[in-house]
Amino acid sequence: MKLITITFTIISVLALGNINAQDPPSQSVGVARLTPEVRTAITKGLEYLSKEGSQRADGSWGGDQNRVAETSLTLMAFMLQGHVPGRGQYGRKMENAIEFLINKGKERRGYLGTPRNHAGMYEHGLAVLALSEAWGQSKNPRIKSALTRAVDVILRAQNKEGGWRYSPEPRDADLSMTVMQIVALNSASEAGIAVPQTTIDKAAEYVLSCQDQGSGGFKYTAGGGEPNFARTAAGVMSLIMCGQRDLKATQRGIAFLKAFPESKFKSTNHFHYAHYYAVQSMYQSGDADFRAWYPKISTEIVGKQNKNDGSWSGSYGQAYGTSLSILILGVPYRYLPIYQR
Amino acid sequence: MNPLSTFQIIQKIPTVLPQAATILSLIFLQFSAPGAPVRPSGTIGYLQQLNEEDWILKAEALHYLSENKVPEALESILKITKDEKERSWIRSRALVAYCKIQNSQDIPQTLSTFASSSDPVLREGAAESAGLINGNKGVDISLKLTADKIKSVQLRALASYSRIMGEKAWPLAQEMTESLAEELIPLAVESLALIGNQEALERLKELTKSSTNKRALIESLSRSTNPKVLPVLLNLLENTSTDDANFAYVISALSKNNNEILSSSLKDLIRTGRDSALFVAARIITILFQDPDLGKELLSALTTTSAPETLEAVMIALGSKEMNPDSNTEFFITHLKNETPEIKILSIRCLSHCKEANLYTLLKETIKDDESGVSIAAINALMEAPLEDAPTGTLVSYLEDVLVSTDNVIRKAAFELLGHAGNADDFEPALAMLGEALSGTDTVRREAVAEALGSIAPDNGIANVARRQGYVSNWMVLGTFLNDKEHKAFANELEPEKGIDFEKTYPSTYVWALQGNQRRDGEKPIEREIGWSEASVNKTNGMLMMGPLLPPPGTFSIAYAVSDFNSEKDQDLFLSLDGDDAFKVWLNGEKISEQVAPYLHRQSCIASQGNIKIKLKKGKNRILVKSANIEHEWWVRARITDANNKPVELF
Repeated sequence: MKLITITFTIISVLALGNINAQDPPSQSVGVARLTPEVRTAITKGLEYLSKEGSQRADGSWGGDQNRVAETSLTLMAFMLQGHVPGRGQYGRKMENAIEFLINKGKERRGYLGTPRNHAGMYEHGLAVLALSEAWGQSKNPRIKSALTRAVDVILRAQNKEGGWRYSPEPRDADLSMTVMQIVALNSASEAGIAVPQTTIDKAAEYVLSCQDQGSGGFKYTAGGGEPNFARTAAGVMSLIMCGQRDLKATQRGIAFLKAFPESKFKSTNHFHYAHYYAVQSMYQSGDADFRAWYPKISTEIVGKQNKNDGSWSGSYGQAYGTSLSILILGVPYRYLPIYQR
Repeated sequence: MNPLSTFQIIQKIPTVLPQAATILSLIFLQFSAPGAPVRPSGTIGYLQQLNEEDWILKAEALHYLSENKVPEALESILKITKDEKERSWIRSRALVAYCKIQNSQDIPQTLSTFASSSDPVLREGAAESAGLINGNKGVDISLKLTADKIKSVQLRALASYSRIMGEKAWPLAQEMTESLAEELIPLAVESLALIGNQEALERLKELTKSSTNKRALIESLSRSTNPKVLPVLLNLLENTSTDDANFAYVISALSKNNNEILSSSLKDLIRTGRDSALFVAARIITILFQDPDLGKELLSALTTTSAPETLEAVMIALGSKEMNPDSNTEFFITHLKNETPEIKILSIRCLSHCKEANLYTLLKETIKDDESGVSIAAINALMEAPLEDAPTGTLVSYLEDVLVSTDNVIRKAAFELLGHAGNADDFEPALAMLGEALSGTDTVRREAVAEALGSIAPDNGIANVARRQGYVSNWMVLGTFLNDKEHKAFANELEPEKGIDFEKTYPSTYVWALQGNQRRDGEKPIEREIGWSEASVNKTNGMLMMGPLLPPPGTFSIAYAVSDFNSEKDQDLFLSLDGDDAFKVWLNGEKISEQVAPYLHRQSCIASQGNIKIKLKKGKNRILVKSANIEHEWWVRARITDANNKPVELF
């Protein structure tokens, strides 16, 4: 239903002749307003990602190590502002990126991650997320075929505890990788790919097992690790996606995020990763929380933009930092199904 | 150790070069040309082991390399055969290994040399090796050695001759295997097994009966690939106790046969109907060869007069997951009523392997068995059964007998099953049946019942279970105030201690320090406003877990918990307190306890004080707890009892 709404919105925009996707019908969605500064920052960021030579000939973005991940994030950054694959200013580049991801799946029997890459399942999850969102915007049947196989890889790789880890096999599990797969499955399910409810329920069980009972934050694994802001943001977001927003554990996680001191807000570990999940958690948590949260993080992100070229630095390179910054700033756009409540 | 510099390496070349060459050649062996057969793991080690001084290690290497037919070993092995300083037995084994690996029609010079040696050990090696030469080129040597002056050499040569000639060797063997000394029987048996005609097998059986050296016999028999020898091995097994090491040795010998041949021999064995034959067949099926068809044979051969051990062995065989236990469900059900408890237990275990069986239906009576072991086995089996098979809403009456059993172990198992398979629908009936235990003085039983009830209680049921045990279960809580590792704020009087006002809010501070990690110097505590809120104990053991009730992060924190309750009269009672990490307690404004547990990083730090005599006044009483936490678990608990440790319910 959400998908239909979004598609309808996009079609309406196009029908009205408003094909400038950078100028969506509303910049204030419900509770938070996209300030002119934020809109400019996003536009500049997208220009950086689309500048000559930024995208490789095979349609990918990023360095040699995590190209699938960076390409997926970049593709989503374009879609976030309402750009549609195959149309308009960035349409060609987006189509090329989609082909890059589809080809990765073809090469590896549905697995989209880079073999032997420690972050292979992250890449896979992000690619599923990006392709699911793309499938909502461009009814390219090749996307659906790649998605179906990729989702199957995730389903088969869920371990006994309900989680996932580095490789596409049902071995061990950690919170971070599990959250990535939950987000991917949720998005794929929204796009119409069948995902068994038992998979989601088991995944939620695993996430819950990672909650620290003392503080309400989330740890790296069920067995240990210190709870921190990034893990808690991820844990909360995934529980919401599993339909557990009203669960006491989720609410405790949200309380943990809200109690996180502002002094540490700017310099938290895994800055982009943490705030990507945190801003979505707050958006899903409700108007009051998002209204209090969004101005803080958007000001912070805009302040970190490289003024000369519009990019953001990130732990894994400029494409990673820029696309995630755009995805954080652009939550109010709500063009991506993942940004729907 | 510092890594070697290039200069140092160059200096060392003369000494390291030969070693390097050896290592490289060994590596080359491991990664030989594409298409070459894969070397068994350990080959390199065994090749090196050939050079060991220790003869046991050398013999082990010879055995391994010859069994795996490693051609790279031939040269080294040949050297051993020629080494006159080496002991004869090793040289003899080396020759056997050489011929096994070589696997050709060529007779090595060493074999001829050994055959005409004056050393009987070398001649025995030659006699054994002659049978390993392909074709019939070893006939002459082996025939010649059958006339050796030493009997063991003769019999070794006879075995080789029999290996080459088959049934044609019988006339010679008939003559040579008559009236043998007992120690020579195993050697003769090998020849007879290799010949394999009716007469030879009859002779073999006779000799087998008269030999006490079973180990050597089995070894000789296992060297024959003649399937006709299988009944002899099976017969040996029938006469060997399962505790005897030879039992496993025969099983190992049997495992060398292919499944079809083994299956056919086992069928013949089962059809004899002998109890010992059924027992042995069942054991072989369990250990070696799971074939559901053999299971059917076993079942039809079993009679009511079968010994309990045989019945047990058959059940174990039929209950294995690979034997399609579902096809034998009726058999297992019948034996749920067997007179022997062990058989009943076995039936339960076998039934638990049947995927289509509904254990809740089948074990309804068995869980009430007079024999506690049977009852516990049934409960344990139900713990593994699919939850959807459990009777919904009537689980408590299903488990009634065991839940109130006088046997502690059965009761405990039953409580666990109730907690495992029950749900909120079972809570009220369970509380009605077991509630009495909650207010009893048997602590073990009370806690087990409470835990079971806690597993199936709806959200609002937990506090009820705790309250009936005498725990203070309804509280108002306020927190958090900033504490530190030295518990300074715990020691000081804070605002709420001066007077309780549930409507009031308090300014407070907290620090973002998780798991006991101290905040950085100069880091400012964060301010927030806090107020009182209602809370119930969230565990049936009466614990009021602070973490879920108070704002995060809950480290370096102080909280207050207040409970107001009514007493029907003035009375003297006892209050027991515990908590993690520290608490102070006031009753009606008077401080009655203060306990601080020593801090342990990332561990429970439990302070406690039991049986504090308290005076309750008629009407409303108030208990105030100040609780402190540095990190990790944070909880408090209060229980009020009479002088007999019986809970007193107060409202």
